[in-house]
Amino acid sequence: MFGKFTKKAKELTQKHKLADDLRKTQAIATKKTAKVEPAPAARQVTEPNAIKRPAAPDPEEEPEIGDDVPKARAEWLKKARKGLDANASPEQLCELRDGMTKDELRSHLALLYRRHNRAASSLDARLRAEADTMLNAIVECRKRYLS
Amino acid sequence: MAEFVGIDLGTTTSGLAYIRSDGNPEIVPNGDGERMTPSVVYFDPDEEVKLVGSAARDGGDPSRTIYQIKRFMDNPDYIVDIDGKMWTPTEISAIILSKLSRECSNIVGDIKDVVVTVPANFNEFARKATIAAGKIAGLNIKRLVNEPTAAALYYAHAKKITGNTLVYDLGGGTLDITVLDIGKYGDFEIFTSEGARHLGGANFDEIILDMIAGQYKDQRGADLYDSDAQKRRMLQEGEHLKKMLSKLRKASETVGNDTEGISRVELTRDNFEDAVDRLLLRTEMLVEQALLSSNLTIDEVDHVVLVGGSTRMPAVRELLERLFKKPALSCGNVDECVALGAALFSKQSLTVHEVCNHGYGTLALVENAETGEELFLNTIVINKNTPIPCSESQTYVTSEDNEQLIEVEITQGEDSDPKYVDVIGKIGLEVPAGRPAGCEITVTYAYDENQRVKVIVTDETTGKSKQVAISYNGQGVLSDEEIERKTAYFRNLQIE
Repeated sequence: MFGKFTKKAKELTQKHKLADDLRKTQAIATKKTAKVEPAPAARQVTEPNAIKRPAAPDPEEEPEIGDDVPKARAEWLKKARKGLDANASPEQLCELRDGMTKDELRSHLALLYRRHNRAASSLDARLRAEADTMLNAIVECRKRYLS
Repeated sequence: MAEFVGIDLGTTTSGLAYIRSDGNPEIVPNGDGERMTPSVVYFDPDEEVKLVGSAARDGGDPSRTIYQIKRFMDNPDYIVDIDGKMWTPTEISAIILSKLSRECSNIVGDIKDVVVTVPANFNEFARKATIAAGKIAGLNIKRLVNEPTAAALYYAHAKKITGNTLVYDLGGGTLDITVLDIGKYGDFEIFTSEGARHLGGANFDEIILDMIAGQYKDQRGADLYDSDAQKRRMLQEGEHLKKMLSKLRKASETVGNDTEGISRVELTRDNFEDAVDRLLLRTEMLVEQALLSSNLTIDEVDHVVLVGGSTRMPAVRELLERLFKKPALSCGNVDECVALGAALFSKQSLTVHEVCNHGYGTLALVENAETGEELFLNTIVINKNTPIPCSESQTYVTSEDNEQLIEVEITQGEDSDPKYVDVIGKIGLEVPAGRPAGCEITVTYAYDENQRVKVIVTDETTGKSKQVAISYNGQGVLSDEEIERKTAYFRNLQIE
């Protein structure tokens, strides 16, 4: 395994701001069940005769995580393989919580937008699809609560 | 020979411009007399000739026609099968570039060295593919320049604007927002470029198509299209309607197909704007992201400029004017300003300070010095928006005793969670056996003016180092040998 990278806590905190903010929100997310009409997707124009990227691998068929994988990486891998809940509402997908102020909501959605807008141009087909779903959810939440 | 040439290799249209003897840029029309060439390629079943432009878009069989190939330039696995022959996005783009350079050279002389524009958010792979397309087309791409940067150069030249400027570039396939400072003496400092892939005019066309198809179904009880070919024709009708609704409050069109008959559909601008409001909201969020990245407030933006055909939609202008409380500037030829700016750029009489459009880093186990908790993270070595060219190093240490192969994964992206970044390369550096954990390894990233990245890994104990040329796997990836072979093949390819 390549390097273990040691940094002082202050630098670590700065580096991890995005991930930490998202984790914090996830921990206190409120599950809402509001039914939402799907937002218009940003669709890909159909290309005749195009041979598209192979379908994303089925998470069930992905290789098991070997013993030689460091613990932190194995834990991350397990988490990363989890897909989106197909039945989740936009609020659930965006991990909104009750009592968020408009400013909190705005910055939380902006943070999510940055992450998933970047993911929409990922080399990973599964992540691109997930990003599209998330961007629709983010825009839906923004429209509902901030427009 | 045309000395200073810029090419806008666009999603829906492409254009070539050169610098006239008076120092002003001018669009060079193609052999069909068009200033902008539709980026569409048609493969005829009977003749060897490849058609590019309006003839390809309007006349050919849609099942043999390639539209908007630029949207797939960043996809290493994407290829197109025509009669059993596989074409990569790079080759399709090379056909378009060949059409432009061959036909325009009849007017301005031989064209060899060019500046080509790319979306600001194009990744490493797409940039590499664009340079390869130029080479196959017989061109030497001396520099890639981001489309909004090129457009800003043109606005500065044509409108004489200075100060903090936000470029809103809504093209056929992508949205790019760039914030920059245009100096009084022709120097440009880019603060940030933010892009949204697959958010462009084509997405608006798809929505208008849904609206038309809905009305058709209500009237005739049948689907408007049931094949890709029919859908393509209806998309063109939809695009016409969209353009009409940019000028009129209400527009109608006759649509239909051979089996179900025709119907008259009518749309209003209000209905259309309601239907696309989520797309517009996405663009608004990207504007906000760009302002945040550039540390500017709305009040600190002196000018908002419009680029790309889709900015003709009144809702786009209204959105920006509502946000910035000032008129958005339009140069009149929003389709051409990128090519014109690229030509200006090729002359290099202006100083442009660009920034990295992506962050680059390495995956590593990171230990929190306070808690001892170990996390698997993307550690960023070069931050997005670092002025380029630049070189940054970060030192890591080995985590196990007796590591003999140091594997470094090179990432592109700004997120600390490895899930949300792309691993674009790996370097394996062999080191002597028997060493304890904790040996220092330095990873250096160098970022050049074409937004291409080089990585050097150095074992500090032995001084041994290795440089990686980032490579990609996929059926759409061309090797250097294949590029050479195709360059030779293209010399004799008939392109009209």
